[in-house]
Amino acid sequence: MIASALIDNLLTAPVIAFLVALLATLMRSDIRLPESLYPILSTFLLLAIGIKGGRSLSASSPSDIWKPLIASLILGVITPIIAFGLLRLLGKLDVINAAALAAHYGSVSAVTFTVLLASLDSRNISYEGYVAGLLAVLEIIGIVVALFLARGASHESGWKTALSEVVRGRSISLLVIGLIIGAVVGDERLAPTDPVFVGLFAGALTLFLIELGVIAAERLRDIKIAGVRVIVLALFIPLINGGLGALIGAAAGLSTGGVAVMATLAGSASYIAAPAAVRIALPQASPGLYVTASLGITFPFNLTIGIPTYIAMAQALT
Amino acid sequence: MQTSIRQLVTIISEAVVEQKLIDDIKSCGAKGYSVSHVRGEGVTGNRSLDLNGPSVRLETVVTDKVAEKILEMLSAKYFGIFATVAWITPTHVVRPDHF
Repeated sequence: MIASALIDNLLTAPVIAFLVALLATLMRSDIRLPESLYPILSTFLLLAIGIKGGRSLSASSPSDIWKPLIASLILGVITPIIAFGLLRLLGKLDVINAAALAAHYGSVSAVTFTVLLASLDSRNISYEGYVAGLLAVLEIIGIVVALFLARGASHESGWKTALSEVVRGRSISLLVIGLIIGAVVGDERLAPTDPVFVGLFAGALTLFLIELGVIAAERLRDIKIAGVRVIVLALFIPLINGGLGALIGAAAGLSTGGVAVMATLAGSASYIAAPAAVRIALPQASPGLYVTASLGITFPFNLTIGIPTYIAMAQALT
Repeated sequence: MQTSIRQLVTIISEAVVEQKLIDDIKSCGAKGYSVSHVRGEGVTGNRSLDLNGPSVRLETVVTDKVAEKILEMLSAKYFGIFATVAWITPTHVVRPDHF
């Protein structure tokens, strides 16, 4: 069953686009999309995810949401601590680099989340629509906790700037704006915007993943900087945190799709918000290490093997 | 036309520090600035933050005293920590009280 789920997941347009772009770039062909496209696509995707979440938020009551919200708060605190501990003990990293990486593994990847939603949709597995709100919560907490772990070593005043960078940063802002638009306007009145925000979504995601494939391939060339221990941990931390996310999601009473979302959020590593925050707060940490691990190793792993595994975990638990 | 000499301070740094840099030069006394996004390579060859966009080039025209303060601030908080270069060019301006 897992083998067929793996193949099902692999044969979706975004995943194949990512893999083809990654391989093509490793073979030195230049398939970079025009530079200005990248911010346009990421803006569109974040807004669309937000609107989708807000739309179902308008249909759910506070009593539906408080348990998953607490579950994601707990996850947001635990996942960076687990990553930090493993990177210190098994990865033999110093405090600063371990905390820098922990911020990435504690925070979440909106793209991994989006690919999961596409995968759930294609397999007709339903999920709680408000999970996009949990994405915004988890994205911030993971980074805050990890930076706290390195507080002694953190660059003076870097702390505050880094946090405001994350909170006011484009990814959170766009997501929250989308949530508000979706929640205020409501399902019925949003229908005229569907051709853009729903209809174009999968296509935009595919284009975006071509660009990410190119960038991931460039990071993979620097894989030697990471070292064997970090590479192995970049594959295992997602599975450990993902498993934990699945357990906590199931305990919070989420549906199969909801548990898969929790597992994916917990197992994914940030590579947009966290690098920016960490670069400011912990400038001594090596960007070669954290960007390579999160984008070069964990992201491709999650896209191909992680997501079907998290879905399988969710199916086993619900 | 009557002109006065002021200093054009040009700073090129990582895109992630844009806001921090703006806050810092203002606290040194800069009254205005311009920011543009640029591409390039330096001795650090730092491409690690591709995802956060290209480097930023921040320009501000200030008095000698403020220019010196900015360079001291950069030495303390940026050089050696973030991939940063900066230089000063004497500049002729009309309306010196603007700077």
